[in-house]
Amino acid sequence: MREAQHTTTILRYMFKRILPFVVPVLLSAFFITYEFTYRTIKEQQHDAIETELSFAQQTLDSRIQIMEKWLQNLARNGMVVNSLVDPRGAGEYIPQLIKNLRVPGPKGDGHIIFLDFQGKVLATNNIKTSLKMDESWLSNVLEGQSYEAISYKGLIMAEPVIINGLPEGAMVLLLDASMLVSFMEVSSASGYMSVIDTNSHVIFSSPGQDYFQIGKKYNKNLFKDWVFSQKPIYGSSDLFVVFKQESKVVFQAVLDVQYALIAFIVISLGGILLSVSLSGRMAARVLGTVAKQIETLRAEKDLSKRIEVSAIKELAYLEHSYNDMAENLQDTTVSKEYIDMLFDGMPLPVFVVDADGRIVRTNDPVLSMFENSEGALPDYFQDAILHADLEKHQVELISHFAYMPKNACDTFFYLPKKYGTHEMEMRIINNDTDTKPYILSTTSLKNKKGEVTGFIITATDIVDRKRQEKEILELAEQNILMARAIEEIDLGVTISDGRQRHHPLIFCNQSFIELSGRSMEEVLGFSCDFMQGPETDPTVVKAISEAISDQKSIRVEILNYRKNGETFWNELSINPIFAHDGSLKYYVGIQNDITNRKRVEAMKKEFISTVSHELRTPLTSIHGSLGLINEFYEGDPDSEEKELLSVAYRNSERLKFLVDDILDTEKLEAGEMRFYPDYYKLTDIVQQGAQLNKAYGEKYGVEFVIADDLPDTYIRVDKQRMIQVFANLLSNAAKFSKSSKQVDISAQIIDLGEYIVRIAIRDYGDGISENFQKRLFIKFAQEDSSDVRALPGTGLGLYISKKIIEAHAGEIDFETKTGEGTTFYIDLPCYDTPTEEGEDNDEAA
Amino acid sequence: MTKPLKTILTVDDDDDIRMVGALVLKKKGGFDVTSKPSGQRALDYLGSLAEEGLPDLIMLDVMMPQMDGPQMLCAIRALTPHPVADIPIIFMTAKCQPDEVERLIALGAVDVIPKPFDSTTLADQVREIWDAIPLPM
Repeated sequence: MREAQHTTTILRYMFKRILPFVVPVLLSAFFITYEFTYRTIKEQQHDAIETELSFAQQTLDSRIQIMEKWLQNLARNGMVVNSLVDPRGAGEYIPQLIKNLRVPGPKGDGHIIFLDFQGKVLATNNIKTSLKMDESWLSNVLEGQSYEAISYKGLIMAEPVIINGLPEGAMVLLLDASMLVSFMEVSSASGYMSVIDTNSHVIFSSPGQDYFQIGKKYNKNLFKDWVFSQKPIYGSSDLFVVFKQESKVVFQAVLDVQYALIAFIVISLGGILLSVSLSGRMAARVLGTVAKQIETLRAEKDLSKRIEVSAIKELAYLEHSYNDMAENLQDTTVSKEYIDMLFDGMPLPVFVVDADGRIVRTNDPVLSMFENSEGALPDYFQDAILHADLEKHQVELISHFAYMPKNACDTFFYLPKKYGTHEMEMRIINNDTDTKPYILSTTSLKNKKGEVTGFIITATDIVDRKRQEKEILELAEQNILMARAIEEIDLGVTISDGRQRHHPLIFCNQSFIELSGRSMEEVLGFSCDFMQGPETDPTVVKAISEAISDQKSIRVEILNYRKNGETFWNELSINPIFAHDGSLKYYVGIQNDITNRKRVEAMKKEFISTVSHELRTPLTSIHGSLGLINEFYEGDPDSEEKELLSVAYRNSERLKFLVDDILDTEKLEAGEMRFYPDYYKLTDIVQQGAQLNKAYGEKYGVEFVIADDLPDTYIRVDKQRMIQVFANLLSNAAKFSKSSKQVDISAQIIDLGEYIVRIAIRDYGDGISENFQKRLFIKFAQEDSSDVRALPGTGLGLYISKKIIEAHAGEIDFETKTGEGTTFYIDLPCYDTPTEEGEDNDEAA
Repeated sequence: MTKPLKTILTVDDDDDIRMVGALVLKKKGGFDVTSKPSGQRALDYLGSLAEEGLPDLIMLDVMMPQMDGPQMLCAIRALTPHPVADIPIIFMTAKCQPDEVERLIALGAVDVIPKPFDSTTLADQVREIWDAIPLPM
């Protein structure tokens, strides 16, 4: 491997990194521990010495106290006191006594001196001794006070001998310094001890040490590192005990600890090195496995293999990472396949273009975009893109969707490069006749540095969109037109919300505002019934609310009120508008002010009614007179005179019928026509009807043929009016039976439950034209067609007939077939027997 | 027109009016009157005549079933160059508001006589109209 010479094993690396760190740490630890141990041990020794010192002091104290006590006792001894009073007696046994005294001490050594008040030595146990010491103490003692002094010279202790409260003498005890120190019994096992005074006179040195000679004075600095006793040896004395440890002892103690320490450090170092080497080996093994696996992966391209994950966290992480990486790689490979599939399967034509504008990849829809059966992209498109000269290459640019400076127009990729993405609308010319509009959306692809590496172009077929745009435009135009029409129409138009309670108005046009006499604010949001007033017909209002609750259309004429109380006749039609799901959405109301029309109609009716009544009077006499003359004419029956008479009579009769029909119509419409119904046998009515119109039929050469099987039933009718209906139907039938000379009259019960009889009058004429069928039952007053002339007579007959039948709870209708004739039906309720109440009514006209 | 009025064809679907009209024109005007109940019958009649036997004038009811007066007029005029197409036509109608009269004249009628006609003056009225017809060029 090329990097071999620079690499090293993990183990070595770890040692190299760890040792320079571990060794100083361990050494410092060693020295710190050593120092600490040393100090601790020294401290302990020091404490031990102090204890020893204080013990020595205590010993000295107690010895001195004992001597003090002893001296006091001696001074108070009767013999001693008496010796001073009786000097003769004293002279004999006192010196003897003193000579034999043994000072309480280690060897019993010490000088006892007995003095009189003049300072004269009366007795002593050691004659050699003389008081060379400073003798200022004597005056103190002879004044009656105890004296005590310790110095490097030794101990002097004096006690007055008191007689009758007066000091008459003194007992003095002297001890050599060497003797004094022997009291202390200091052991010197752990070092050297000396007793010095503040001036560094050495009073005592422990045996075996050579440093200081007893009684010599030394420089104070020599005692610098000696341990001084905290207190003077005794009371106010200036003697101190000093002690010097033997450093060998301390070092030995420290050394004992240090062996353990060194052993510990060596073991630690060994342990650290062992663990480092172990973990290094482990890491090396895992890394080796991963590396090997990656190598295998590279060689075999098998992404499915995974490494067994070890228990060590960090290494497990590495192994997990490898496994994740392998998985991701696998996923990426899979998703690349997906992307390929997606790309190929996309319904939109997609081009991948490199940075130079060369198409490097396309999907299948691109080929169908160019309707190219050869399975190759036409060169011209590539050229068009490459040279950006669209129009020369059968690609016509319609528009850019982003701002493009005119002089930059010559590069196809200028804007995508600049803005990232850009859309343009263009037309691809497949051949001379077929061009298709597309939106080309170009998106630039950039690498991490932001350099453009290529483009993706998607083409969207906008044929449908173009068409929809056109349709929407047309629709919008239509809507605008409709809205304008609604606004300008002379009819009031309202829309109310059918989903809210009380159906509030949500729209109305200007005409409605004018019609209602209210402002827009007073109308919108309110229910339309604000137009009703006290004189509004409640039955009409009820009919409207029923229609609304049934969600049905309704058309009524209703008396409405404007805001100022003015009334007007409103021809109102209400139509429900349903949503797609069938639920009610809106009501559209159309309001037409028909007050004028109503007035004109009323006037017209009034006029016609008046005229008809006025006509009737002269007509009656004309008709009567002509009838008489015609009947009793005695001249030549074939003469022109007779013929003219007949014409005159016939037409006066026709006029009479017409006037009667007009008056009947007026009555029917005003609800003033009165009926006087009674029970009649059906056959009777039919036969009478046929009989009475027989003459009219004969005029047209038509015979009315009644069927044999008329049901044996009763009908409850106004006979005169029923005969009138028959007359109308039969005369019509006769008139239209020109080719055939027969009109059939039949009847049968058609609904046994309700018990309804259907009377049929059938002619064999030409039938009724489709155009006229619709208007058959409408009164002529609203007709102005020449078709009316096809029904000689009044043009009111069928209208009146329908009204009469309806007044009898019946129905009238017809069936017609061109060339085969027409059948009129009258359906009427029928009865098995005439009921009693029917017989009470008189037949009347 | 210098030529005296002699023969008239009347067409009306109402039998009584047709009969009375014809009678009035015969009795009061002394014209030779033929009357037919429908346009088709009138056309059949005209077709059956020799050229010299054609009527001088045709009087047409406007409102008739199947073929009304104006349709009849157009049918006759369509027969040109046959001389029947040149016969002057007078309409008779109950609807004689000025604009309707104008419409009928525009169709090519020489005049319109309102219905109901006055039997005492009808013949004179027809003669006056006849005399006022300008000569054909």
